[in-house]
Amino acid sequence: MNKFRILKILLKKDFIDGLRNWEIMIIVMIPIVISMLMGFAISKNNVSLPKIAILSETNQYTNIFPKLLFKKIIKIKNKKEGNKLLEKGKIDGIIVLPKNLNKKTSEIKVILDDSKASKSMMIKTIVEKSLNKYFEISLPVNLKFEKYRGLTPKQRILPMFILMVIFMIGLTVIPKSISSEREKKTLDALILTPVTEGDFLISKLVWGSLLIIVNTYILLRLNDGMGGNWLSLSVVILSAIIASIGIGIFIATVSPTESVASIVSTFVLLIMILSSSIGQISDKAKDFTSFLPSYHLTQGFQKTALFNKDLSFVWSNILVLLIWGIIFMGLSIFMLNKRSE
Amino acid sequence: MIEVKNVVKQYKTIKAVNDVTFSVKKGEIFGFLGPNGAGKSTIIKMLTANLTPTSGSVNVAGLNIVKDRSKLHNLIGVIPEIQNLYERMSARENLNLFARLYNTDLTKVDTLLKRFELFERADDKIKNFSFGMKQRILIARGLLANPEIIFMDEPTKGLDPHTARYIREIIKEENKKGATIFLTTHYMEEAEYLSDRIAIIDKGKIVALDTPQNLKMKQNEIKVYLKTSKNNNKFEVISLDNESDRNILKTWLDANEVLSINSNKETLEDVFIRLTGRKLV
Repeated sequence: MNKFRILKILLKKDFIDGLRNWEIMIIVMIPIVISMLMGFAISKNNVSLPKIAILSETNQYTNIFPKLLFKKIIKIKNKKEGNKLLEKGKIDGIIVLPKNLNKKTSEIKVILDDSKASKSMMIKTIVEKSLNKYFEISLPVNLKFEKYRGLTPKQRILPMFILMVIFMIGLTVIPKSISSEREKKTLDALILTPVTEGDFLISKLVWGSLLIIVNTYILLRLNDGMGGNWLSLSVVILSAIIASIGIGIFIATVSPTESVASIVSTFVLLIMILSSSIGQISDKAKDFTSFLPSYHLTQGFQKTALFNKDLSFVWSNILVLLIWGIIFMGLSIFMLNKRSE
Repeated sequence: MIEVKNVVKQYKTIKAVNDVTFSVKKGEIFGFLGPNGAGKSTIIKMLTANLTPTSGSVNVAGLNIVKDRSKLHNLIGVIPEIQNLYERMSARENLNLFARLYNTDLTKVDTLLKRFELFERADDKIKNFSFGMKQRILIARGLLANPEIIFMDEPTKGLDPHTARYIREIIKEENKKGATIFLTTHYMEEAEYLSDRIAIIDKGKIVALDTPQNLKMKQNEIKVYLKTSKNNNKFEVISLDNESDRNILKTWLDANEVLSINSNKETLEDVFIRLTGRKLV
């Protein structure tokens, strides 16, 4: 039977069985629920990004103002439309761009809502900085300000949630699911059909990856993380998935029972999460944690999702993540072959 | 249909299976008996291509289990001792999953659900089923691919008498349809009732292999139990195969000392215990 068909059948089984398993569902939902609760607390603090309208005859503005810096950018046709949105409180300001924008002759008008002082301040700063960058005008650069610029409190905590999603699913859901099938002997029934142990592991890898991708997308949407470099971000996330599920499959392979797998997974998960936090606090701790996949995921994610960096800035992070994944998947295959002998 | 030649399975220093040779004919019900730890499961795992022998050869349905492993799946059906069903999935979902993997027509699922009297409960989750109902689903799953050989590991263990009888009839029906059945059981009456031939394995070796009738005849020791006027109502056991015992009996009969006398033929269980030195638990 064709391998793709086998994979499709096994994935359907994993989704039906997995979605009805409340333990797995709780683990999957934890990062999203915590992020929603924290996001709610943060939004109550009124620190969300500004929403703006842009009046422009061209789409040149997309190259000037990064989407990441605004909660919403609406393109309007005339000033009247913008005023209506301002009145209704749907936007915090209007940027009026001239037809032919150039650094010598153009005049850019920014209309700000007086009642929203902090938002107005943010818009002013963002507009000023974005134009400086676009026209390459050499003005004194305030580095402190530059660092604050792109990261809202939600965006600051986002890497931690992404780390949680990827490693909680990879290190706990996948080993739990594999060792449970081994312990309950459902795996024995599957390998009496044309399914091989390799097909079984690939289906778990794909299932885990899909769970992680859906959860990551939800977290990005909930936490102002949609404006990054999608190509490099996707490569970083996929490499992290391979690393975390690789370790997860290895844990499931060497653990004799589901409960042993759970204990080992929890321990490894704690190391990953703690090492990432400690690594960001102190430089000495960073030296100890910089070989771990959690560190490289956090670094890669921040560079690509929050600072719009392309692949050339994150290749080393991707490489380390892939090495982790390949080593542990190789070890798992070795252990499986040894066991079947 | 099954050819096992000089098979050895060694785990480090332990020989779980030690130079085992036997064959199972097409259309036969082959009973496979042995105490716990005798090597039964290891042999079944090798016959179903789940384990590679250390040495020797195993051919099932004309295929070598090592070289032709991938071709074997649609030829064999396995009903394991453990009820390894997906508990959170319904009966139909469980059977549909395996029907798709075996590339079998999905209408077969409904046919089997009706045959096993579970059609009304088809959409209930397995975790809500009784032990007997789960066992019926397990057997239905084993029959999905219309297998030529069916391996049944303790198919009636722990079942109520009604369900156990029902399953024995299913085994007979499948055998009449042409399937070869490889059966392990702890119930001697069941082995005797169902099997055309029986193999007894102990400590990794086949210690006896024949029809149930021949096994009893070969191994049989005819004993008589008698009470005499001298032994205070206690039974004396005399073996008629033993000449000195026969002479003692003759002396008691001549002296009119025998008050009652009964003969007792050995059962298959007696044969088993004598050969293995253990009871089936």
